[in-house]
Amino acid sequence: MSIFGLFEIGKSAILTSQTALNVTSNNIANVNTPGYNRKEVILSIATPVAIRGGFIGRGVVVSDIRRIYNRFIQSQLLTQNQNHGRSSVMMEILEQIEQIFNEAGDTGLESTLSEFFNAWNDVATNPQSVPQREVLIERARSIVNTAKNMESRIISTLKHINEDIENTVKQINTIASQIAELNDKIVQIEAGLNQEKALDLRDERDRLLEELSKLVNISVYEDKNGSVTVTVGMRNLVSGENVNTIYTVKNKFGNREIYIDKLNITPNVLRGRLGGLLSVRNYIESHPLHDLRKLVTSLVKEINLLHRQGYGLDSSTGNVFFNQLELSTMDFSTGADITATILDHSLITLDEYYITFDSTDYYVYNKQTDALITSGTYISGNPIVFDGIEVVITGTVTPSDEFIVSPLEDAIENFDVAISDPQKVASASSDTGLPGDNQNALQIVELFHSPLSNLGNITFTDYLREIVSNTGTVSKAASDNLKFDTTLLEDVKNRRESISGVSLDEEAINLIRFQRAFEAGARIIKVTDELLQTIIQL
Amino acid sequence: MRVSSLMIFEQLKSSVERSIERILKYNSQISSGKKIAKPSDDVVGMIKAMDYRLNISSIEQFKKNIDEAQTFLNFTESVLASILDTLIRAKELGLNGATGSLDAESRKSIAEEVANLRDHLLDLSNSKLMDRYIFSGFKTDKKAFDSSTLTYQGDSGIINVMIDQSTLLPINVTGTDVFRYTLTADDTVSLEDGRYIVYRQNGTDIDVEIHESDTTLIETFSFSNFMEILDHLASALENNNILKVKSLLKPIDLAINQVVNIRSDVGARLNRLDKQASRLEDISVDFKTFLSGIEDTNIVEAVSELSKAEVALQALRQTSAQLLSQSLFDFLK
Repeated sequence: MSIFGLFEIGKSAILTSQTALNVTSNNIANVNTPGYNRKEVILSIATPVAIRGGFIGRGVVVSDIRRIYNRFIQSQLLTQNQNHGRSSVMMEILEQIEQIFNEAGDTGLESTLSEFFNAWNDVATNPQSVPQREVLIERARSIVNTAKNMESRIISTLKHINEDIENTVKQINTIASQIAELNDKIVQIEAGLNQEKALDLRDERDRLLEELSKLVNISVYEDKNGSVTVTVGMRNLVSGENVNTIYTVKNKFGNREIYIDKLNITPNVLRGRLGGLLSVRNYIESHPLHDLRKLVTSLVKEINLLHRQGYGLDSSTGNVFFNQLELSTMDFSTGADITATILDHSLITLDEYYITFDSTDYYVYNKQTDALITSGTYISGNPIVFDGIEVVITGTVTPSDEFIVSPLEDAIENFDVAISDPQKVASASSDTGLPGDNQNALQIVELFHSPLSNLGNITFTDYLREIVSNTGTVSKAASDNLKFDTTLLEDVKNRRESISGVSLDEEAINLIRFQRAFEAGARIIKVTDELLQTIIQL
Repeated sequence: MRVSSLMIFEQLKSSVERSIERILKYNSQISSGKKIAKPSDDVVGMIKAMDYRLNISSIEQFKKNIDEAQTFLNFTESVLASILDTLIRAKELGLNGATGSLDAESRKSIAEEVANLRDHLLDLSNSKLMDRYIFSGFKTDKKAFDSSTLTYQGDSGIINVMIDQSTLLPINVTGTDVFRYTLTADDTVSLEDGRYIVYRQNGTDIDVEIHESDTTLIETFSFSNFMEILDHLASALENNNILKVKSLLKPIDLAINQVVNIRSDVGARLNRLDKQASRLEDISVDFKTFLSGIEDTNIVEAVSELSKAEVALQALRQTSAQLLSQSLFDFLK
């Protein structure tokens, strides 16, 4: 080995140190970059040469630059992100819902209800006097306003949820197409290498997968060529450089459902922000909204039944106090029409129904319990009567047709005080012209403390308390879940940071270490130069 | 465990966040005075609080009802007292008029006073509280007795008021209860000279027959209320009809009895209202205490928790400042 070999060794030391300093500096620069995995230079001895007496090395080479990365922890992070994404959006929305049923102050529905019945008490104590009746009508109006306000807050929350679902779907598609682009680049760079080379692109792709996992439950598989396949609800969202965009379609109830590849995957979207939104929408519709409507429907039904029996100061009778209940129908048929009317208000059970058909017969089911209420041969125009309701369907029906009949759907929308003349408040029960008669008013007063069969044998206020307790419990559970998921997520993030994160102290040490190596390499060159000088001057 | 720079920052950030969250929680508990701000803070507590609040509101209403009932019954009581005074005075005048030594002229002047008492009694029967005739049953807009025919125009309606969740208390007495009594069997009163008087219930009327003997009837007349009794008394005195005056003494006694009974019934109701009112007051105080125990902040506890949290945050800030301000770079010159 000639003396010039020393130059080579010195050069390799300088160049290698320079590369190492580059990597260290890049690590330092990216100390705060999300998703950045620290890089490490792998050094190895350059192939030694044979000299007299043995082998001697020819300096140092950079054999690899790799990222410090744990695939297992990364996949755990994706899972935790999905759970956290779901619980954080659920918590956010359930907190709003709970506020609607917040009875902590003196402004809740319960105090409005109790003031209404107190006003009936005052009418009962002073049946002949008008001011108490005027107060009663005012109190009734404030129940109407409170209930309408609560319903509109719930409905606007539902509207926001549907908008949020659409936005989330847009974000998912954006991220999916970015991942597909990166797939393409990574495959090109790593083609034939069979080794991770596109380190920063992979970091970026991992970061995008993390973002995606916050939004929806995904499964990720890496192919041999370095590209990843991302599936949502068993369907491919990203495969290679291709994206199957997901999209929403309004269902028959006006709610947005999730589709991919013409397939409804809504039931499979369980986690991530999207899963949380779908689940919380379902809860709000089937519990707080349904229950609030049922409470109002029951109040209207019971008060009206009693009020119609009574007599006003002007001897009028048969008046309803609140607007009479009406049925709403939904028609999911192609060739038939439906009308539904209440025959007997005292028989209404406050259940909702759906009607289906086979080739000859109709079947009426309870929408909440799926119990069969009645069935029979379908004849167009023949009235179907059950639970105080008469339904008339005309036209041709097919087995795929369905109708929904509900006393609850529009209950709060139609909710209003029907009488404005205080004379018509029916306090008397027996005869006309008895201003001192308060027997009907007393019956209505007693209603407040009576268990009602259509609410499951509990009182109005008990039922309201069940709603409050249900929304409170669900919101508490959501906030507990969020705490739990946050702890787990932080734990996984910490473990990843611990392995892949940049430590400035560590990099400072490396900086010194490679600076010294660089200086020493330069020294080798200087020493070699002096050696050459010595020889030249011989 | 290897600690990266980001880990230190993140850890400190979330510790400070948690610490500030705690401080805010106790701060809002102290400033609002309530420890339950929303149902999920304490679902069971919230439901109990709703229950107590509803009970307190119902009790307030029952107390209001009791107040009205007391006003009504107190007024009725005082009217009944006047009725009683009137009847007792009529009794005195009747006894006076039945004395044989009195001459016709004196009876005439007594008759005049009795006629006044009758008018007074009629006025009392048509007593009005606010805009309600108190003795007319449900027909509170009608006078109980017609001033010329003296017939009852009300009905038998009993006005109840709710004084507890399942308890109704009648607040009125009807004109028929106060101004009319009913005989369950014929009543015969013998006079000292062999004559006798028979009182017989006949529908709502009571027929009075004054007999000379079993075969000879001297006089019959009938009445259906106390005003009519006094009417008969006045005319008997006017006409110097001692026998008829005597025959009316017993009905006046029974009338007095009737009013005394009704008055003690009204008294008993007032008594019951007093007891119920003070019972409700006690329960209401209990419920308010329970409610406060559930939803009000324990200030001492909250303040001590708050200062603990503040100390923790201060310590955290100090250590953070040290930890964040230095790295190895500070020592490399």
